[in-house]
Amino acid sequence: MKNKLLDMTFRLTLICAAAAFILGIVNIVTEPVIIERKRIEKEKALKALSDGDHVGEIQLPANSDDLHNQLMASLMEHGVIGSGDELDEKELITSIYPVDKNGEITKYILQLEGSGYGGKMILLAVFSLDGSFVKAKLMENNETPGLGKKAEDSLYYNMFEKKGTSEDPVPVSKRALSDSAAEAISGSTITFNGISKALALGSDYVKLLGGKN
Amino acid sequence: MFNFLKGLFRENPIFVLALGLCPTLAVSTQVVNAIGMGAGVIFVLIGSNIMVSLLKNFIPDEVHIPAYIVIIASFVTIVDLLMQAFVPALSTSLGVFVKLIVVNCIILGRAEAFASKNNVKDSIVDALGMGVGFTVGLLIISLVREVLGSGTITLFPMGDFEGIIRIPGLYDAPARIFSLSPGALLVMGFLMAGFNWLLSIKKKNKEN
Repeated sequence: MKNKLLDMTFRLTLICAAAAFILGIVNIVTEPVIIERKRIEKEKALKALSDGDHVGEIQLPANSDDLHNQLMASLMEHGVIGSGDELDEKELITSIYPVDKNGEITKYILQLEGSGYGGKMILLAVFSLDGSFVKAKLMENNETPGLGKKAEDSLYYNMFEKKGTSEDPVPVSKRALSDSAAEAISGSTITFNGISKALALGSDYVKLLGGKN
Repeated sequence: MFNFLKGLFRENPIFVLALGLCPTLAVSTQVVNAIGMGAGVIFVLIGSNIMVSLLKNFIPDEVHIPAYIVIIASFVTIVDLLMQAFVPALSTSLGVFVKLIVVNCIILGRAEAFASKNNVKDSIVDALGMGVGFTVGLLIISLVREVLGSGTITLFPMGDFEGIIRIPGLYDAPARIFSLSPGALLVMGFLMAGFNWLLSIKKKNKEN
């Protein structure tokens, strides 16, 4: 009995090890190609989103404790997180790209992470200095074709256009949308939740940056 | 030859066995998706059938399903990585359905019902028949859906050809329902009925 169990375990382990070895080789071949392709895609997306203006890159501010508390208060006020909830902006805002024209920052492009139906989504979103949303491009995602994948279309973001100011926050629930927009996201509510919350976070974050480089 | 042809007609995975319908309905919005998905499924089917047939005496009965899943998942991951690296547009378009080939009933079904009981040569022929049968089924559904629902036929771009054929009359006023989920079910239902009707006529003729 014990020998049979050991034999089964050994054979299954051997199959797994062989599979892992082959996948490792395939990964060695494809990984550099995928990384390079993603770099080029991101470069193209940044160029398109910045309308040709100069794009820089900054790190998350070092004095982020104070900024974190202000951000949480703002997100709570806008209904993005519940009372007492916390989120780590450093995990969700992975890059900040200030866009400048003649040396003066005109907008920010943020690389944001959201959680969709198919797992992690990465999007690049443009915000004006007052936090209002301008446009976005969904980069990596595993959303469902025909449903959540609609978020790859630039028209999807019309419902967020100019939202994000202090008076008019980014809508994070279906109730905050117009009837036609709410209908458009039916069947992909989880994708909408992930994107809207990421954009709301980005909008509030940009407001706190205050045009600093 | 029988093993190959049965996958195309008598045991067509989509229209007769009704297997793998979830990705069939989801990715059949464009012809290019059907070609990509079909190629992926054929590759995984052939690979997994070969490995299962080769290892049938090595894999203990008690753990044969986990072993098959490891083999199938490995081939699917290879397809996924190759698509991401070399045909990124197709990989983006098929999205999560490439990864979901792992749980496609056709593949596990053929490993369990055929490859585990037959030699490598027959298993390859069976995989080819089933894979081509699946691809043809997917192509027919996506062709009907894309032509009626979008008025286009999307293929791979080549040289000056941008990859999209626009059908006059339908492109400007398509019947959008065919691109949506209800359209997928409608087309699937009618084609399945038509396919079974043809098979029943063939059967009757044989009996007479």
